[in-house]
Amino acid sequence: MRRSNVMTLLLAAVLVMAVALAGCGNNAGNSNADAGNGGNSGTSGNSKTDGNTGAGDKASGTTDNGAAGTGNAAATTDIDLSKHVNLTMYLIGSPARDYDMVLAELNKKLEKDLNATLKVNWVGWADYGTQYPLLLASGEPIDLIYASTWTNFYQNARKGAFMDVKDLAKKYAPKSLAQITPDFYKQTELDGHLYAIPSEFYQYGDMGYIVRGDLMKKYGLTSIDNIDDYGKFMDAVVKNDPQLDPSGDISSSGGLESYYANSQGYYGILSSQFSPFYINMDDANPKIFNLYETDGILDYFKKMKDWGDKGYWSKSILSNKDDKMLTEGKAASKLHNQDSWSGVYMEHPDWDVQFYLNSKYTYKTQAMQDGMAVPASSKNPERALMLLELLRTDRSYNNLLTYGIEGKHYEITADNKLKPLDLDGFAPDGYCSWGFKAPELRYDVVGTPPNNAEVRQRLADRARENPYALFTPDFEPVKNEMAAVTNIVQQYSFPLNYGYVKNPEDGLKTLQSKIKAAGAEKIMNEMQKQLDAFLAANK
Amino acid sequence: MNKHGVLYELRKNRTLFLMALPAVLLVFLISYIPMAGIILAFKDYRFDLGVFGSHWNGFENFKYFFNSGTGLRVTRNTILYNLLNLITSQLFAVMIAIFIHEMRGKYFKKVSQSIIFLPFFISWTIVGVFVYNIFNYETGTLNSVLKALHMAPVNLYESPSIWIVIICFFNSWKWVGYTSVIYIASILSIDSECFEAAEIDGANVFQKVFYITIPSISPTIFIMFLLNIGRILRGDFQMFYQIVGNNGQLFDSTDVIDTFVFRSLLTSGDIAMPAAATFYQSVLCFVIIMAVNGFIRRTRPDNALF
Repeated sequence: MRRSNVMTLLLAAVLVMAVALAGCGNNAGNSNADAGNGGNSGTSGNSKTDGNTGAGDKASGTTDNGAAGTGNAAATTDIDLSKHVNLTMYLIGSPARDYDMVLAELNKKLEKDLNATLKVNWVGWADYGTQYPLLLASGEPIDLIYASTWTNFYQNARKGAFMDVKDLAKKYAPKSLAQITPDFYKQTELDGHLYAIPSEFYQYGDMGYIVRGDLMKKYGLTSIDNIDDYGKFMDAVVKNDPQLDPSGDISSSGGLESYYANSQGYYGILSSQFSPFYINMDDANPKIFNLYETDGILDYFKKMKDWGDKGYWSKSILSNKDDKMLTEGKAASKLHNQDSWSGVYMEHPDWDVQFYLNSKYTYKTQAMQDGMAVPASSKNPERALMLLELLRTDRSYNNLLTYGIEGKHYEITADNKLKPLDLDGFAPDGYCSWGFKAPELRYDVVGTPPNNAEVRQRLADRARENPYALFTPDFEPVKNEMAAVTNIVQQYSFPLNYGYVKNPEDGLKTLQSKIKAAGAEKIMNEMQKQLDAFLAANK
Repeated sequence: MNKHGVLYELRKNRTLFLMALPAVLLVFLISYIPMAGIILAFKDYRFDLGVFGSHWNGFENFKYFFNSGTGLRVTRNTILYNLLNLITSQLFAVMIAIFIHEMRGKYFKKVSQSIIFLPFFISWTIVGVFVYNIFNYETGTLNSVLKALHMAPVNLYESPSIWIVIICFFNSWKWVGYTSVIYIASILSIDSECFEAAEIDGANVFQKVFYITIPSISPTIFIMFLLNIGRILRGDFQMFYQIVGNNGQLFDSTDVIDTFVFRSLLTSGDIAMPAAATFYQSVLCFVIIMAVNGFIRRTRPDNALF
């Protein structure tokens, strides 16, 4: 009896330990990876000796291939490619059905040119806000990563997440470095360091309304010029096509709040997610303010309450993670930019999808709207930059990741346009190839919306010089307050934006007091100080 | 040689120590070495300087946690949820263990035990999808059934308090099969003569359960309770995040330390601040486990862990 009791306890202990260990496993993995950072020199030393053994064969192999004339041989002759490396690239979104096939094709070439194999990992749209910083923090070796203002490039760069590629690029990606125009270079540069290579591409961007034109016609609506018009459209959807979700929104987007702010001519000066701090572009002496303290905001929240009650979006939207509702025919519209619009248009030409502008002003996209960075954890920054150089300057590489395989996914028409052949397999420009967008390598796509040029013109008409494009706030002095505000916004303002709060007046009051308690004043004062300093320096 | 010295102990029980060595090494490797990372909580971490190279910054990293009073709320939530989960899941596990033990049909017993065990293998991500598809307002199973019965649909995403029940339910559903295995083993180790004697004395099933089974497995219950109480400040992040997600409406009653920290810092990418929160959890866990163990040692010395 006594003995068997001991055995039971032992079994209990073992089972519980197993669980505890399984739980710890993750943590331990993380901290090991961190430790790996510190011990970098040791590991790379090892791999060097490893590589030496078989270097003879490999080296001769590469030079042969180089001589065969891939066109990049000249650039790579004085660079040691004898050791085969595996490169890891992280992109945002989800891969095409045929992405593996395209990647295999690319790797065939890459094997010859750089003696490297590329693996692409994806960070999903619904989770990029959370996963992306974790990736950088985990210390997992990543060689190339998509970087942008909306992935908080500057904040991450300030914390040393990326490698300074200024000097490396001179040797390993000289053409790309030369492509960066002075104003883009200045925008990307941070305290004298170049932490990313921006794609040399700009447009006048706007988040607008992507709506199904066939439905517009059916409801007798001609245009959407503001939030209220969009409301009319959604109302018609509810009345006529109840099986469709009118707005097709996803939980991470935070509703129409930024649409409201942009339509007022406000500008999100901190370019940080979940930040309610704006300046008014019409103001000559910009003063940073809290959106939730402005006059119109209560009316706006009341409107959202009304719309939410009328069923313009799901009552469970905050838990919804489906971001393909429009393309899958479950929703009637979507809130996104003109690029998403052409994507949807091409996928469903019969819907005659339209794009309507919302913001009072549009701005030239910033340099770091799109770019690629080499994370500090990369073990092969040289090869990573060489790959980036190929992606940016070599048509065959750029085409593969941007358009897929020629003859299978696209063909080039007689008038030098690109005709997609298999949109389900690989839609042009659909898989985060924006980080190495190269204007001179791009094709106009057959089947893009016919009024594309007109929309572009309308965007340019609203364009305005943005004196704050180069302002990159340093959050270090107020990081505690920012963390608190980020939390408050998600907890109290999202439900208001979707009209889930029974009494918007009380809801707004709670939000205001919580934000205040979280230290909004301190953030605004600090940011105002930095902004004033910035403006004084750039007079 | 000193009869009470460490060396004497080591020599005398060398076989036993040798047997324990792999486990000790593993614990050292996985639990003790990473503990050095605690210093992160007091540092201004930079990716390029690494854990040991970054500069110290005192208690700066702890501030955000207590800044707006949320820290106390989520600490309270975490403790209450864990207590509730501990009690419900252990209670159900004991009940199920007893039911299964009392079952007579051999196959029925095996099949039902397997079915109860099954949810343990389903990941929280999948459970999160279940939950959304059951409870979402427009197309969820629950509301479809209600509508078919001509009843008014309910919007559970508006009523935070109901999620306490939902979360407890899914937690028990997932863990109960696993925990009950321990209790079943414990029941099987009870001397069958006790049951036979009781039967001869005319005890019914309930009397056997209350006077023999439960007192006999009570040491196991105490051990399980103690082992779990050590985790009382660790919110099961997977569970809360997958079931509740970023749904601000429900935070008041569903936010635990882990989800709060995750949400506050997801945009900043700062890893020193979450480290500070974890440190806070660990210190509180340590205090609680020492206190509870001390209490049990006083009242029931045989059942204390150490």
